[in-house]
Amino acid sequence: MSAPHEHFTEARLLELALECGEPEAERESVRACPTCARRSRELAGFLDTCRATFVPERIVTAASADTLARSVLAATTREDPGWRGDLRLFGRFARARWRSSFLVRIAAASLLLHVAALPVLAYYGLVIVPERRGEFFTMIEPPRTLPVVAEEPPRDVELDELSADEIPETLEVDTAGLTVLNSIQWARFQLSRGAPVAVGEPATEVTRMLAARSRLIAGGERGVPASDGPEAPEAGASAVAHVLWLDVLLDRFLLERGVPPGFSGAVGIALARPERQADLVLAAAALARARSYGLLEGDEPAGLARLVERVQGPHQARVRTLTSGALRPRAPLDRAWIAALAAAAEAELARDPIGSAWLAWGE
Amino acid sequence: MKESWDFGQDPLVALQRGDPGLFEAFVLSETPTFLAFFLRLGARRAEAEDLVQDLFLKLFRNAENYQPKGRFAAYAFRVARNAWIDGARRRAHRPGEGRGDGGPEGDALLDARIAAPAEEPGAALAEREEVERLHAALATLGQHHRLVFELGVLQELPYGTIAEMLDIPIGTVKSRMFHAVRKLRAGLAGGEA
Repeated sequence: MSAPHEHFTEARLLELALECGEPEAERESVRACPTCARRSRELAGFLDTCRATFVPERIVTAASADTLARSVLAATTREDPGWRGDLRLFGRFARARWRSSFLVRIAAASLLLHVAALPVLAYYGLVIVPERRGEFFTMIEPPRTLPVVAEEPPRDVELDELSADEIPETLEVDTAGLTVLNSIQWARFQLSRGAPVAVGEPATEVTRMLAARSRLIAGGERGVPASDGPEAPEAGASAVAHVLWLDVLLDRFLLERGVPPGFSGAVGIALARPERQADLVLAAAALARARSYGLLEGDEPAGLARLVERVQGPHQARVRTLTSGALRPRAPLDRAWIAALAAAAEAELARDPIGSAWLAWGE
Repeated sequence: MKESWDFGQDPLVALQRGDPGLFEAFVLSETPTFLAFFLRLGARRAEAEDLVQDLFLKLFRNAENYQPKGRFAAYAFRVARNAWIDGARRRAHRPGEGRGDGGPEGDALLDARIAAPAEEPGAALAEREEVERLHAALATLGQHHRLVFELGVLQELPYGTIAEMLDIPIGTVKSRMFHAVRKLRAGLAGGEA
Protein backbone atom coordinates (compact mmCIF):
# COMPACT_ATOMS: atom_id res chain seq x y z
CA MET A 1 0.00 0.00 0.00
CA SER A 2 1.46 3.30 -0.99
CA ALA A 3 1.88 6.24 1.38
CA PRO A 4 -1.07 8.69 1.44
CA HIS A 5 -0.67 11.34 -1.25
CA GLU A 6 -0.54 14.95 -0.16
CA HIS A 7 -2.38 17.05 -2.72
CA PHE A 8 -0.51 19.86 -4.42
CA THR A 9 -1.34 23.40 -3.43
CA GLU A 10 -3.01 25.70 -5.89
CA ALA A 11 0.11 27.86 -6.07
CA ARG A 12 2.33 24.90 -6.83
CA LEU A 13 -0.05 23.61 -9.46
CA LEU A 14 -0.01 27.07 -11.01
CA GLU A 15 3.78 27.08 -11.09
CA LEU A 16 3.78 23.71 -12.74
CA ALA A 17 1.11 24.78 -15.22
CA LEU A 18 3.16 27.79 -16.13
CA GLU A 19 6.13 25.46 -16.53
CA CYS A 20 8.07 27.28 -13.92
CA GLY A 21 8.46 24.20 -11.77
CA GLU A 22 11.56 22.19 -12.44
CA PRO A 23 11.15 18.59 -11.36
CA GLU A 24 9.57 16.19 -13.72
CA ALA A 25 8.90 13.96 -10.72
CA GLU A 26 6.35 16.45 -9.45
CA ARG A 27 4.54 16.40 -12.75
CA GLU A 28 4.39 12.65 -12.53
CA SER A 29 2.88 12.92 -9.06
CA VAL A 30 0.28 15.31 -10.33
CA ARG A 31 -0.66 12.99 -13.14
CA ALA A 32 -0.77 10.05 -10.76
CA CYS A 33 -3.30 11.68 -8.41
CA PRO A 34 -6.74 11.94 -10.04
CA THR A 35 -7.68 14.93 -7.91
CA CYS A 36 -4.49 16.84 -8.63
CA ALA A 37 -4.62 15.87 -12.29
CA ARG A 38 -8.17 17.19 -12.55
CA ARG A 39 -7.25 20.41 -10.79
CA SER A 40 -4.18 20.77 -12.96
CA ARG A 41 -6.24 20.23 -16.11
CA GLU A 42 -8.78 22.80 -14.99
CA LEU A 43 -6.03 25.28 -14.27
CA ALA A 44 -4.34 24.64 -17.59
CA GLY A 45 -7.69 25.00 -19.33
CA PHE A 46 -8.28 28.31 -17.64
CA LEU A 47 -4.84 29.58 -18.64
CA ASP A 48 -5.46 28.48 -22.23
CA THR A 49 -8.77 30.33 -22.17
CA CYS A 50 -7.01 33.45 -20.96
CA ARG A 51 -4.35 33.19 -23.65
CA ALA A 52 -6.96 32.61 -26.31
CA THR A 53 -9.05 35.50 -25.06
CA PHE A 54 -6.24 37.98 -24.80
CA VAL A 55 -4.25 36.94 -27.83
CA PRO A 56 -3.09 40.11 -29.66
CA GLU A 57 -4.65 39.13 -32.95
CA ARG A 58 -8.05 39.25 -31.29
CA ILE A 59 -7.48 42.61 -29.68
CA VAL A 60 -5.61 44.54 -32.36
CA THR A 61 -6.54 44.62 -35.99
CA ALA A 62 -3.77 43.78 -38.38
CA ALA A 63 -4.26 46.95 -40.40
CA SER A 64 -3.94 49.30 -37.44
CA ALA A 65 -0.90 47.45 -36.12
CA ASP A 66 0.71 47.53 -39.54
CA THR A 67 0.12 51.28 -39.86
CA LEU A 68 1.62 51.83 -36.45
CA ALA A 69 4.59 49.60 -37.22
CA ARG A 70 5.32 51.48 -40.41
CA SER A 71 5.17 54.82 -38.64
CA VAL A 72 7.66 53.43 -36.11
CA LEU A 73 9.96 52.32 -38.90
CA ALA A 74 9.64 55.71 -40.55
CA ALA A 75 10.87 57.25 -37.33
CA THR A 76 13.70 54.79 -36.81
CA THR A 77 15.46 52.71 -39.43
CA ARG A 78 13.70 54.35 -42.37
CA GLU A 79 13.80 57.87 -41.09
CA ASP A 80 13.85 60.40 -43.90
CA PRO A 81 16.55 63.04 -43.31
CA GLY A 82 14.97 65.35 -45.90
CA TRP A 83 12.16 67.86 -45.56
CA ARG A 84 9.55 65.12 -45.73
CA GLY A 85 11.04 63.56 -42.65
CA ASP A 86 11.06 66.91 -40.91
CA LEU A 87 7.45 67.38 -41.88
CA ARG A 88 6.57 63.98 -40.49
CA LEU A 89 8.40 64.73 -37.27
CA PHE A 90 6.51 67.98 -36.95
CA GLY A 91 3.26 66.15 -37.68
CA ARG A 92 3.99 63.65 -34.95
CA PHE A 93 4.82 66.40 -32.52
CA ALA A 94 1.64 68.27 -33.42
CA ARG A 95 -0.42 65.11 -33.04
CA ALA A 96 1.09 64.40 -29.65
CA ARG A 97 0.39 67.96 -28.47
CA TRP A 98 -3.12 67.75 -29.88
CA ARG A 99 -3.81 64.62 -27.91
CA SER A 100 -2.27 65.77 -24.69
CA SER A 101 -3.50 69.34 -24.37
CA PHE A 102 -7.05 70.59 -24.24
CA LEU A 103 -5.85 74.17 -24.71
CA VAL A 104 -4.03 73.22 -27.92
CA ARG A 105 -7.25 71.70 -29.22
CA ILE A 106 -9.17 74.86 -28.36
CA ALA A 107 -6.52 77.06 -30.00
CA ALA A 108 -6.47 74.88 -33.13
CA ALA A 109 -10.26 74.95 -33.37
CA SER A 110 -10.22 78.73 -33.02
CA LEU A 111 -7.56 79.05 -35.68
CA LEU A 112 -9.52 76.79 -38.00
CA LEU A 113 -12.63 78.85 -37.42
CA HIS A 114 -10.82 82.08 -38.26
CA VAL A 115 -9.21 80.64 -41.35
CA ALA A 116 -12.56 79.30 -42.50
CA ALA A 117 -14.19 82.67 -41.88
CA LEU A 118 -11.52 84.57 -43.79
CA PRO A 119 -12.97 83.98 -47.29
CA VAL A 120 -16.40 85.00 -46.03
CA LEU A 121 -15.03 88.21 -44.55
CA ALA A 122 -13.02 88.87 -47.70
CA TYR A 123 -16.11 88.36 -49.83
CA TYR A 124 -18.06 90.72 -47.60
CA GLY A 125 -15.33 93.32 -47.62
CA LEU A 126 -14.57 93.17 -51.33
CA VAL A 127 -17.97 92.48 -52.84
CA ILE A 128 -20.82 93.24 -50.45
CA VAL A 129 -19.51 96.43 -48.90
CA PRO A 130 -18.65 98.23 -52.16
CA GLU A 131 -22.13 97.45 -53.46
CA ARG A 132 -23.72 99.02 -50.42
CA ARG A 133 -21.24 101.84 -49.96
CA GLY A 134 -23.75 104.49 -50.96
CA GLU A 135 -26.24 103.41 -48.37
CA PHE A 136 -24.22 104.18 -45.32
CA PHE A 137 -22.38 107.32 -44.47
CA THR A 138 -21.38 108.80 -41.21
CA MET A 139 -21.31 112.43 -42.10
CA ILE A 140 -23.11 114.32 -44.80
CA GLU A 141 -21.86 117.75 -43.99
CA PRO A 142 -18.98 119.17 -41.99
CA PRO A 143 -19.75 120.11 -38.39
CA ARG A 144 -21.72 123.28 -38.07
CA THR A 145 -19.37 125.03 -35.70
CA LEU A 146 -17.10 126.73 -38.17
CA PRO A 147 -13.96 128.29 -36.77
CA VAL A 148 -13.83 130.82 -39.59
CA VAL A 149 -17.33 132.19 -39.04
CA ALA A 150 -17.41 135.81 -37.99
CA GLU A 151 -19.51 136.57 -34.99
CA GLU A 152 -20.78 139.82 -36.41
CA PRO A 153 -24.52 140.57 -36.83
CA PRO A 154 -26.11 139.72 -40.16
CA ARG A 155 -25.57 142.25 -42.82
CA ASP A 156 -28.35 144.48 -43.98
CA VAL A 157 -28.83 143.70 -47.63
CA GLU A 158 -31.60 145.17 -49.69
CA LEU A 159 -32.09 143.05 -52.71
CA ASP A 160 -34.89 145.18 -53.94
CA GLU A 161 -32.36 147.94 -54.48
CA LEU A 162 -30.36 145.87 -56.89
CA SER A 163 -30.71 146.71 -60.50
CA ALA A 164 -31.21 143.74 -62.74
CA ASP A 165 -28.72 145.24 -65.15
CA GLU A 166 -26.02 145.92 -62.60
CA ILE A 167 -25.96 142.63 -60.88
CA PRO A 168 -24.73 140.56 -63.80
CA GLU A 169 -21.86 142.93 -64.43
CA THR A 170 -20.90 142.84 -60.82
CA LEU A 171 -21.05 139.13 -60.73
CA GLU A 172 -19.04 138.74 -63.90
CA VAL A 173 -16.36 140.95 -62.47
CA ASP A 174 -16.27 139.47 -59.06
CA THR A 175 -16.88 135.79 -59.50
CA ALA A 176 -13.30 134.96 -60.47
CA GLY A 177 -11.85 136.81 -57.52
CA LEU A 178 -14.39 135.35 -55.21
CA THR A 179 -13.61 131.91 -56.52
CA VAL A 180 -9.93 132.21 -55.82
CA LEU A 181 -10.48 133.60 -52.38
CA ASN A 182 -13.12 131.12 -51.51
CA SER A 183 -11.05 128.25 -52.81
CA ILE A 184 -8.34 129.11 -50.35
CA GLN A 185 -10.79 129.56 -47.51
CA TRP A 186 -12.64 126.36 -48.25
CA ALA A 187 -9.49 124.38 -48.70
CA ARG A 188 -8.30 125.63 -45.35
CA PHE A 189 -11.66 124.90 -43.85
CA GLN A 190 -11.75 121.37 -45.25
CA LEU A 191 -8.24 120.69 -44.12
CA SER A 192 -9.09 121.86 -40.64
CA ARG A 193 -12.22 119.69 -40.47
CA GLY A 194 -11.12 116.65 -42.39
CA ALA A 195 -14.74 115.67 -42.72
CA PRO A 196 -15.30 112.51 -44.70
CA VAL A 197 -18.34 112.23 -46.88
CA ALA A 198 -19.41 108.92 -48.34
CA VAL A 199 -22.39 109.23 -50.56
CA GLY A 200 -23.42 106.89 -53.29
CA GLU A 201 -25.40 107.60 -56.38
CA PRO A 202 -28.61 109.29 -55.23
CA ALA A 203 -31.89 108.62 -56.92
CA THR A 204 -33.62 111.97 -56.91
CA GLU A 205 -32.77 115.40 -58.21
CA VAL A 206 -32.37 116.93 -54.78
CA THR A 207 -30.22 114.16 -53.44
CA ARG A 208 -28.12 114.23 -56.60
CA MET A 209 -27.39 117.86 -56.02
CA LEU A 210 -26.81 117.41 -52.31
CA ALA A 211 -24.51 114.49 -52.94
CA ALA A 212 -22.59 116.44 -55.56
CA ARG A 213 -22.27 119.27 -53.11
CA SER A 214 -21.02 116.94 -50.39
CA ARG A 215 -18.52 115.40 -52.76
CA LEU A 216 -17.22 118.80 -53.68
CA ILE A 217 -16.86 119.83 -50.08
CA ALA A 218 -15.05 116.61 -49.37
CA GLY A 219 -12.64 117.35 -52.17
CA GLY A 220 -14.13 114.85 -54.55
CA GLU A 221 -14.90 115.08 -58.24
CA ARG A 222 -16.73 118.08 -59.68
CA GLY A 223 -19.23 116.18 -61.70
CA VAL A 224 -22.46 118.02 -60.98
CA PRO A 225 -25.90 117.29 -62.27
CA ALA A 226 -27.12 118.98 -65.40
CA SER A 227 -29.57 121.75 -64.82
CA ASP A 228 -31.57 124.21 -66.85
CA GLY A 229 -30.74 126.91 -64.29
CA PRO A 230 -27.82 129.26 -64.26
CA GLU A 231 -24.81 128.24 -66.25
CA ALA A 232 -22.52 125.85 -64.47
CA PRO A 233 -19.03 127.04 -63.57
CA GLU A 234 -16.33 126.08 -66.01
CA ALA A 235 -14.52 122.82 -65.47
CA GLY A 236 -11.47 124.64 -64.21
CA ALA A 237 -13.36 126.66 -61.64
CA SER A 238 -12.75 126.05 -57.99
CA ALA A 239 -14.75 123.68 -55.87
CA VAL A 240 -16.26 126.59 -54.04
CA ALA A 241 -17.62 127.99 -57.23
CA HIS A 242 -19.33 124.69 -57.87
CA VAL A 243 -20.65 124.53 -54.35
CA LEU A 244 -22.14 127.98 -54.59
CA TRP A 245 -23.61 127.14 -57.94
CA LEU A 246 -25.22 124.04 -56.44
CA ASP A 247 -26.59 126.18 -53.64
CA VAL A 248 -28.23 128.30 -56.29
CA LEU A 249 -29.65 125.21 -57.96
CA LEU A 250 -31.03 123.99 -54.67
CA ASP A 251 -32.58 127.33 -53.94
CA ARG A 252 -34.19 127.27 -57.37
CA PHE A 253 -35.53 123.85 -56.65
CA LEU A 254 -36.94 125.19 -53.42
CA LEU A 255 -38.60 128.11 -55.06
CA GLU A 256 -40.06 126.12 -57.94
CA ARG A 257 -41.84 123.73 -55.64
CA GLY A 258 -43.20 126.18 -53.19
CA VAL A 259 -41.43 127.18 -50.09
CA PRO A 260 -42.67 126.60 -46.55
CA PRO A 261 -44.01 129.55 -44.60
CA GLY A 262 -40.73 130.29 -42.84
CA PHE A 263 -39.20 131.26 -46.17
CA SER A 264 -41.82 133.62 -47.42
CA GLY A 265 -39.38 136.53 -47.50
CA ALA A 266 -37.10 134.81 -49.95
CA VAL A 267 -40.02 133.60 -51.96
CA GLY A 268 -41.40 137.05 -52.13
CA ILE A 269 -38.15 138.34 -53.47
CA ALA A 270 -37.41 135.60 -55.94
CA LEU A 271 -40.88 134.92 -57.27
CA ALA A 272 -41.59 138.58 -57.83
CA ARG A 273 -38.78 138.59 -60.42
CA PRO A 274 -38.72 137.24 -63.87
CA GLU A 275 -36.84 133.98 -64.26
CA ARG A 276 -33.51 135.56 -65.15
CA GLN A 277 -33.69 138.03 -62.33
CA ALA A 278 -34.62 135.37 -59.81
CA ASP A 279 -31.41 133.59 -60.70
CA LEU A 280 -29.51 136.76 -60.16
CA VAL A 281 -31.12 137.28 -56.81
CA LEU A 282 -30.17 133.79 -55.82
CA ALA A 283 -26.64 134.24 -57.08
CA ALA A 284 -26.35 137.41 -55.08
CA ALA A 285 -27.69 135.55 -52.09
CA ALA A 286 -24.99 132.92 -52.59
CA LEU A 287 -22.33 135.61 -52.60
CA ALA A 288 -23.79 137.19 -49.53
CA ARG A 289 -23.87 133.81 -47.95
CA ALA A 290 -20.19 133.31 -48.67
CA ARG A 291 -19.55 136.58 -46.95
CA SER A 292 -21.65 135.60 -43.98
CA TYR A 293 -19.55 132.43 -43.70
CA GLY A 294 -16.59 134.65 -43.16
CA LEU A 295 -14.98 133.55 -46.40
CA LEU A 296 -14.59 137.00 -47.88
CA GLU A 297 -12.68 138.67 -45.10
CA GLY A 298 -9.50 140.42 -46.03
CA ASP A 299 -8.77 141.23 -49.63
CA GLU A 300 -12.23 141.36 -51.06
CA PRO A 301 -12.35 142.04 -54.77
CA ALA A 302 -13.48 145.55 -55.40
CA GLY A 303 -16.48 144.45 -57.41
CA LEU A 304 -17.71 142.22 -54.67
CA ALA A 305 -17.27 144.96 -52.11
CA ARG A 306 -19.38 147.19 -54.28
CA LEU A 307 -22.00 144.49 -54.60
CA VAL A 308 -22.10 144.02 -50.87
CA GLU A 309 -22.43 147.73 -50.37
CA ARG A 310 -25.30 147.82 -52.80
CA VAL A 311 -27.21 145.04 -51.20
CA GLN A 312 -26.66 146.39 -47.72
CA GLY A 313 -28.97 149.14 -46.82
CA PRO A 314 -32.32 149.82 -45.29
CA HIS A 315 -33.90 146.43 -46.14
CA GLN A 316 -31.89 144.47 -43.65
CA ALA A 317 -34.68 142.16 -42.56
CA ARG A 318 -35.35 140.83 -46.03
CA VAL A 319 -31.74 140.11 -46.76
CA ARG A 320 -31.34 138.48 -43.40
CA THR A 321 -33.93 135.98 -44.51
CA LEU A 322 -31.65 134.92 -47.31
CA THR A 323 -28.24 135.17 -45.68
CA SER A 324 -28.85 134.27 -42.11
CA GLY A 325 -31.47 133.37 -39.59
CA ALA A 326 -33.76 130.58 -40.57
CA LEU A 327 -32.48 130.30 -44.12
CA ARG A 328 -28.73 130.57 -43.60
CA PRO A 329 -27.37 130.31 -40.10
CA ARG A 330 -23.62 130.28 -40.42
CA ALA A 331 -23.08 126.85 -41.84
CA PRO A 332 -22.91 125.35 -45.28
CA LEU A 333 -26.23 123.62 -44.76
CA ASP A 334 -28.52 124.51 -41.91
CA ARG A 335 -31.38 122.47 -40.60
CA ALA A 336 -34.02 124.93 -41.66
CA TRP A 337 -32.75 124.86 -45.20
CA ILE A 338 -32.66 121.07 -45.24
CA ALA A 339 -36.15 120.98 -43.78
CA ALA A 340 -37.34 123.35 -46.46
CA LEU A 341 -35.81 121.15 -49.15
CA ALA A 342 -37.33 118.11 -47.56
CA ALA A 343 -40.74 119.69 -47.41
CA ALA A 344 -40.50 120.81 -51.01
CA ALA A 345 -39.40 117.43 -52.27
CA GLU A 346 -40.78 115.12 -49.65
CA ALA A 347 -42.02 112.56 -52.09
CA GLU A 348 -38.69 112.41 -53.90
CA LEU A 349 -36.53 112.34 -50.82
CA ALA A 350 -38.60 109.68 -49.14
CA ARG A 351 -38.05 107.36 -52.07
CA ASP A 352 -34.37 106.75 -51.56
CA PRO A 353 -32.27 105.98 -48.48
CA ILE A 354 -29.99 108.96 -48.86
CA GLY A 355 -32.92 111.33 -49.01
CA SER A 356 -34.30 109.72 -45.85
CA ALA A 357 -30.97 110.27 -44.18
CA TRP A 358 -31.07 113.94 -45.15
CA LEU A 359 -34.54 114.23 -43.68
CA ALA A 360 -33.43 112.59 -40.47
CA TRP A 361 -30.40 114.87 -40.34
CA GLY A 362 -32.55 117.92 -40.79
CA GLU A 363 -34.89 117.05 -37.94
CA MET B 1 6.71 37.25 -28.22
CA LYS B 2 8.68 34.77 -30.21
CA GLU B 3 11.45 32.84 -28.63
CA SER B 4 13.40 33.44 -31.80
CA TRP B 5 13.99 37.09 -30.86
CA ASP B 6 16.34 35.97 -28.12
CA PHE B 7 19.99 35.07 -28.15
CA GLY B 8 21.11 34.55 -31.70
CA GLN B 9 18.51 36.89 -33.17
CA ASP B 10 18.65 39.83 -30.86
CA PRO B 11 17.41 42.79 -32.96
CA LEU B 12 19.45 45.35 -31.06
CA VAL B 13 22.65 43.35 -31.45
CA ALA B 14 21.91 43.18 -35.15
CA LEU B 15 21.42 46.96 -35.17
CA GLN B 16 24.77 47.36 -33.50
CA ARG B 17 26.24 45.35 -36.34
CA GLY B 18 24.65 47.74 -38.79
CA ASP B 19 21.87 45.40 -39.87
CA PRO B 20 18.46 47.04 -39.45
CA GLY B 21 16.56 44.15 -41.05
CA LEU B 22 16.07 42.21 -37.84
CA PHE B 23 14.85 45.27 -35.96
CA GLU B 24 12.39 46.04 -38.73
CA ALA B 25 11.10 42.48 -38.68
CA PHE B 26 10.81 42.71 -34.91
CA VAL B 27 8.79 45.93 -35.15
CA LEU B 28 6.51 44.57 -37.86
CA SER B 29 5.78 41.30 -36.06
CA GLU B 30 5.63 42.49 -32.45
CA THR B 31 3.70 45.73 -32.76
CA PRO B 32 0.42 43.86 -32.15
CA THR B 33 1.98 42.16 -29.12
CA PHE B 34 2.92 45.41 -27.43
CA LEU B 35 -0.22 47.19 -28.54
CA ALA B 36 -2.28 44.46 -26.95
CA PHE B 37 0.00 44.52 -23.91
CA PHE B 38 -0.72 48.19 -23.24
CA LEU B 39 -4.41 47.84 -24.03
CA ARG B 40 -4.71 44.98 -21.56
CA LEU B 41 -2.95 47.04 -18.95
CA GLY B 42 -5.71 49.60 -19.36
CA ALA B 43 -4.40 52.14 -21.85
CA ARG B 44 -6.73 53.84 -24.24
CA ARG B 45 -6.23 53.13 -27.89
CA ALA B 46 -4.39 56.36 -28.78
CA GLU B 47 -2.31 56.17 -25.64
CA ALA B 48 -1.38 52.56 -26.36
CA GLU B 49 -0.18 53.55 -29.83
CA ASP B 50 1.91 56.36 -28.37
CA LEU B 51 3.40 53.98 -25.84
CA VAL B 52 4.28 51.45 -28.51
CA GLN B 53 5.99 54.16 -30.53
CA ASP B 54 7.86 55.36 -27.47
CA LEU B 55 8.93 51.82 -26.71
CA PHE B 56 10.37 51.11 -30.13
CA LEU B 57 12.02 54.52 -30.30
CA LYS B 58 13.67 53.91 -26.94
CA LEU B 59 14.90 50.51 -28.05
CA PHE B 60 16.24 51.98 -31.27
CA ARG B 61 17.94 54.94 -29.67
CA ASN B 62 19.49 52.88 -26.89
CA ALA B 63 20.76 50.24 -29.27
CA GLU B 64 24.28 51.68 -29.20
CA ASN B 65 24.59 51.19 -25.46
CA TYR B 66 22.69 47.95 -25.34
CA GLN B 67 24.42 44.94 -23.79
CA PRO B 68 22.50 41.68 -24.07
CA LYS B 69 21.83 40.12 -20.70
CA GLY B 70 19.37 37.30 -20.71
CA ARG B 71 16.38 37.18 -22.98
CA PHE B 72 15.69 40.04 -25.32
CA ALA B 73 11.96 39.57 -24.73
CA ALA B 74 12.47 40.25 -21.04
CA TYR B 75 14.47 43.39 -21.87
CA ALA B 76 11.83 44.61 -24.30
CA PHE B 77 9.03 44.07 -21.78
CA ARG B 78 11.05 45.81 -19.09
CA VAL B 79 11.31 48.86 -21.33
CA ALA B 80 7.59 48.54 -22.10
CA ARG B 81 6.73 48.31 -18.45
CA ASN B 82 8.85 51.40 -17.69
CA ALA B 83 7.10 53.25 -20.50
CA TRP B 84 3.76 52.25 -19.01
CA ILE B 85 4.79 53.45 -15.54
CA ASP B 86 6.06 56.76 -16.98
CA GLY B 87 2.77 57.13 -18.81
CA ALA B 88 0.86 56.40 -15.61
CA ARG B 89 2.81 59.12 -13.83
CA ARG B 90 1.96 61.58 -16.58
CA ARG B 91 -1.69 60.61 -16.42
CA ALA B 92 -1.66 61.10 -12.67
CA HIS B 93 -0.67 64.73 -13.26
CA ARG B 94 -3.53 65.26 -15.69
CA PRO B 95 -6.84 65.09 -13.84
CA GLY B 96 -9.68 63.72 -15.90
CA GLU B 97 -7.45 61.44 -17.94
CA GLY B 98 -7.60 58.30 -15.93
CA ARG B 99 -6.85 54.83 -17.10
CA GLY B 100 -8.78 53.53 -20.00
CA ASP B 101 -9.72 50.23 -18.41
CA GLY B 102 -10.65 49.03 -21.80
CA GLY B 103 -12.51 52.25 -22.55
CA PRO B 104 -14.61 52.76 -25.63
CA GLU B 105 -11.80 51.56 -27.86
CA GLY B 106 -11.42 48.47 -25.72
CA ASP B 107 -15.12 47.77 -26.03
CA ALA B 108 -14.94 48.27 -29.77
CA LEU B 109 -12.11 45.79 -29.99
CA LEU B 110 -14.02 43.41 -27.82
CA ASP B 111 -17.03 43.69 -30.04
CA ALA B 112 -14.96 43.17 -33.17
CA ARG B 113 -13.38 40.12 -31.67
CA ILE B 114 -16.61 38.57 -30.52
CA ALA B 115 -18.38 39.38 -33.74
CA ALA B 116 -16.24 36.81 -35.51
CA PRO B 117 -18.51 34.17 -37.06
CA ALA B 118 -19.08 31.18 -34.87
CA GLU B 119 -20.23 27.80 -35.98
CA GLU B 120 -23.27 27.88 -33.73
CA PRO B 121 -25.13 30.94 -32.48
CA GLY B 122 -25.38 29.48 -28.97
CA ALA B 123 -21.68 28.84 -28.81
CA ALA B 124 -20.95 32.34 -29.97
CA LEU B 125 -23.15 33.76 -27.24
CA ALA B 126 -21.50 31.63 -24.57
CA GLU B 127 -18.09 32.64 -25.82
CA ARG B 128 -19.07 36.27 -25.79
CA GLU B 129 -20.24 36.05 -22.20
CA GLU B 130 -17.09 34.27 -21.15
CA VAL B 131 -14.89 36.85 -22.81
CA GLU B 132 -16.83 39.68 -21.23
CA ARG B 133 -16.52 38.12 -17.79
CA LEU B 134 -12.81 37.62 -18.27
CA HIS B 135 -12.31 41.20 -19.37
CA ALA B 136 -14.35 42.43 -16.44
CA ALA B 137 -12.33 40.30 -14.05
CA LEU B 138 -9.06 41.53 -15.54
CA ALA B 139 -10.21 45.11 -15.13
CA THR B 140 -10.70 44.52 -11.40
CA LEU B 141 -7.08 43.46 -10.92
CA GLY B 142 -4.66 45.96 -9.50
CA GLN B 143 -1.77 47.18 -11.61
CA HIS B 144 0.80 44.93 -9.91
CA HIS B 145 -1.28 41.79 -10.23
CA ARG B 146 -2.28 42.61 -13.76
CA LEU B 147 1.33 43.14 -14.81
CA VAL B 148 2.49 39.87 -13.28
CA PHE B 149 -0.39 38.01 -14.90
CA GLU B 150 0.36 39.68 -18.23
CA LEU B 151 4.05 38.77 -18.15
CA GLY B 152 3.67 35.31 -16.65
CA VAL B 153 0.59 33.93 -18.35
CA LEU B 154 0.24 35.84 -21.59
CA GLN B 155 3.89 36.50 -22.37
CA GLU B 156 4.94 33.23 -20.72
CA LEU B 157 7.99 34.68 -19.05
CA PRO B 158 9.52 32.67 -16.19
CA TYR B 159 8.97 33.83 -12.62
CA GLY B 160 12.67 34.58 -12.24
CA THR B 161 12.68 36.86 -15.24
CA ILE B 162 9.55 38.64 -14.04
CA ALA B 163 11.10 39.14 -10.62
CA GLU B 164 14.17 40.60 -12.22
CA MET B 165 12.16 42.85 -14.51
CA LEU B 166 9.95 44.19 -11.80
CA ASP B 167 12.73 44.27 -9.26
CA ILE B 168 10.76 42.28 -6.72
CA PRO B 169 11.44 38.96 -4.94
CA ILE B 170 10.39 35.84 -6.76
CA GLY B 171 8.09 34.96 -3.86
CA THR B 172 6.19 38.17 -4.47
CA VAL B 173 5.83 37.24 -8.10
CA LYS B 174 4.40 33.88 -7.14
CA SER B 175 2.05 35.42 -4.63
CA ARG B 176 0.80 38.06 -7.08
CA MET B 177 0.36 35.48 -9.79
CA PHE B 178 -1.58 33.18 -7.48
CA HIS B 179 -3.93 35.92 -6.35
CA ALA B 180 -4.37 37.25 -9.87
CA VAL B 181 -5.29 33.84 -11.25
CA ARG B 182 -7.58 33.08 -8.34
CA LYS B 183 -9.42 36.36 -8.79
CA LEU B 184 -9.78 35.82 -12.52
CA ARG B 185 -11.05 32.31 -12.04
CA ALA B 186 -13.48 33.53 -9.43
CA GLY B 187 -14.66 36.17 -11.84
CA LEU B 188 -15.15 33.66 -14.59
CA ALA B 189 -16.83 31.13 -12.32
CA GLY B 190 -19.04 33.77 -10.77
CA GLY B 191 -20.61 34.43 -14.11
CA GLU B 192 -21.21 30.79 -14.71
CA ALA B 193 -22.82 30.23 -11.32
